[in-house]
Amino acid sequence: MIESIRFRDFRGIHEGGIERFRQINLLVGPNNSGKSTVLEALYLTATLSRAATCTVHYQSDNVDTYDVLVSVTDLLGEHPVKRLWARHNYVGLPSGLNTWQQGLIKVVLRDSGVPVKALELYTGQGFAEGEEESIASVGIPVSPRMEEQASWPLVSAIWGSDLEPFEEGRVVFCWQPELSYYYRGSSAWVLRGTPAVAEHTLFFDAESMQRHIPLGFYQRMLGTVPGWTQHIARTFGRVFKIERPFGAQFLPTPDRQQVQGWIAPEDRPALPIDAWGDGARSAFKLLTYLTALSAIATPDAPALLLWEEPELYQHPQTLALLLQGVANLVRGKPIQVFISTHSLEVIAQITTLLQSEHLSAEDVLLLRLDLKDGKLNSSWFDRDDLVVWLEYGWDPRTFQEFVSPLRFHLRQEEI
Amino acid sequence: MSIYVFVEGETEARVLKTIDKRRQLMEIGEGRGKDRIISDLRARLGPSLERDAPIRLLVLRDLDAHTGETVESIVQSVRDVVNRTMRERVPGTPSVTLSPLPDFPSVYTLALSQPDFRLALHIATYRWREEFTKATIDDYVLSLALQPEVAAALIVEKRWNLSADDLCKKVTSEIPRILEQNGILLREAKDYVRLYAAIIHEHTSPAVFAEIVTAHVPEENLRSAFAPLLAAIDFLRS
Repeated sequence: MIESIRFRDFRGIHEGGIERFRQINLLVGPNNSGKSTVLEALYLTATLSRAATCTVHYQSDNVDTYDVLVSVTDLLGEHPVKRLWARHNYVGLPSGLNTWQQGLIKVVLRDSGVPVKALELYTGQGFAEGEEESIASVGIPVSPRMEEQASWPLVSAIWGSDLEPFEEGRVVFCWQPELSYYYRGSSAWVLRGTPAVAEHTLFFDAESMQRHIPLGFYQRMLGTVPGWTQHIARTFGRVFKIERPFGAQFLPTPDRQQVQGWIAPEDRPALPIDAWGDGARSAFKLLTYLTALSAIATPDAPALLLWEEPELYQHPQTLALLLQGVANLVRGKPIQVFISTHSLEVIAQITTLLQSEHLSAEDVLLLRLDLKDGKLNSSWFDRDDLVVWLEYGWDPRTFQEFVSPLRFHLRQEEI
Repeated sequence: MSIYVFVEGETEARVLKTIDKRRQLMEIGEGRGKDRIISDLRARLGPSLERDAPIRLLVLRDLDAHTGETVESIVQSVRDVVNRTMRERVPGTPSVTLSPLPDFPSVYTLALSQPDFRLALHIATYRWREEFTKATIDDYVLSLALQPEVAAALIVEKRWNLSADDLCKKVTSEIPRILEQNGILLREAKDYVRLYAAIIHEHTSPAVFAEIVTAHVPEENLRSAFAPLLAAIDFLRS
């Protein structure tokens, strides 16, 4: 499980971090407070699963070689850097600093802010041509006696020498200037704990609702997870209170690269899920992926769900049932969940699940992020805190008393 | 800078609103009894300690001597929860203590610069009658309500044909004596407050009565009666 994260110059965060995570983490805070940045850093870290060798050319002209990790595709077969590139609408291809030559990826750094001139990455089989477009970071595994490790010179070059010893974790170095704090050139973050494996990492955001389900993922799960489609139908039926018997089916899209989910009642014609409302489309796709993750995650290959704004498209009652469904799917499983939200209803529903012991108090934290002049701070709320805050009408998102918009409007009309 | 106030009940909240009405810089919590104050204090203080913003907390407690409670035990319970919460949130912080304000031994305070945190604990220790089982904010209210000019103002408002002196006698001796003769003892200030309200036909709760009374008290008398409470507020604002 990921226990903490600290940043240097990643996106809007110049410094700071979050010191404690649990299995289920709710990230709240104002716009531009770092919630998505945290999700993206976790995504990039968890998808660093492929062993590689990295020759580093320091500015001092020293050259050294280290074992590192580079990124591979996630649960849905997507390249993380390309995914982030698309999320932020950057023009052109990522990794313009990279070139490919006979199985080797060369990275020439420019104004990166660290004493490194260039990197050369290679693996036993060699990188395929085109892979240089999907690699923008390396992960360096760290352990308690970090200063005695061979990779210490690289860690201290990209992070500095103030790294406190910890049991297990990863230092990540990202050379994509667009992802660095005000284009400082590069960024780094230190993650304590054990991240998920890339093929069990799911980043579910607004865009995920629009997309069909990748064929490769579908085929892999169909052959791996017994009763998968039945499980999807049961879970989806509970969220949307569908009492008529129905099945969840999947048919290829015209390009045969993806599949589309269908809801097939016994007594009516089937409808593609994309013909349903947006809330149902979003929930169906999330549950399709999460029912699979819930079945395939193991302690040796844990999973990670990064879920951005679950409240999008959802009616409050459906949202409550969806959150309960997700809680049921991850409870007792080696799946770590990070949810970013602006919704008090999401916070209230998670608190309700804690009060009713559908979720264990030891497994859940709400983290209120605050980003001021590039410095990230966070305050945590456990079950007891949340219960008291919500009972009294204090709003953990704003640290103020919650004022219902309805009350406001009624007062306005009185005036 | 806003002060968050923990109260045991509605009476403290109403009194505070009256004495702070000009500044309105206090956010007063719902009074849900003394047993909730410690857990509420932990919940409010904990997340706030990790923010880069000043924290100002005022805790108002009654002294429930009949349950064996002492000033020391109340101070200790507040100090312990502050220390526990700080250890949890700000590792490495030394233990804190609460010190009484020099002129007001019923007000205990704490001031830290990092984090910017001030706390004042006001313990109601005044008992209008020595034999009362506990000291509460109602003792202060009762004492104010029995001031001749306040009693007179309340009578005038009610258009009651009664002198202030007669009203006070009925509240403090005539009716309590009849009750006592019938085996009914008045044990705390709130009993007298209810009696007072019944006599002047103020059909309301002790909390609302407290607000009505304090609204009729001359500013100087109010400041004198609640001097320790005002000193606690001044400490938080300094």
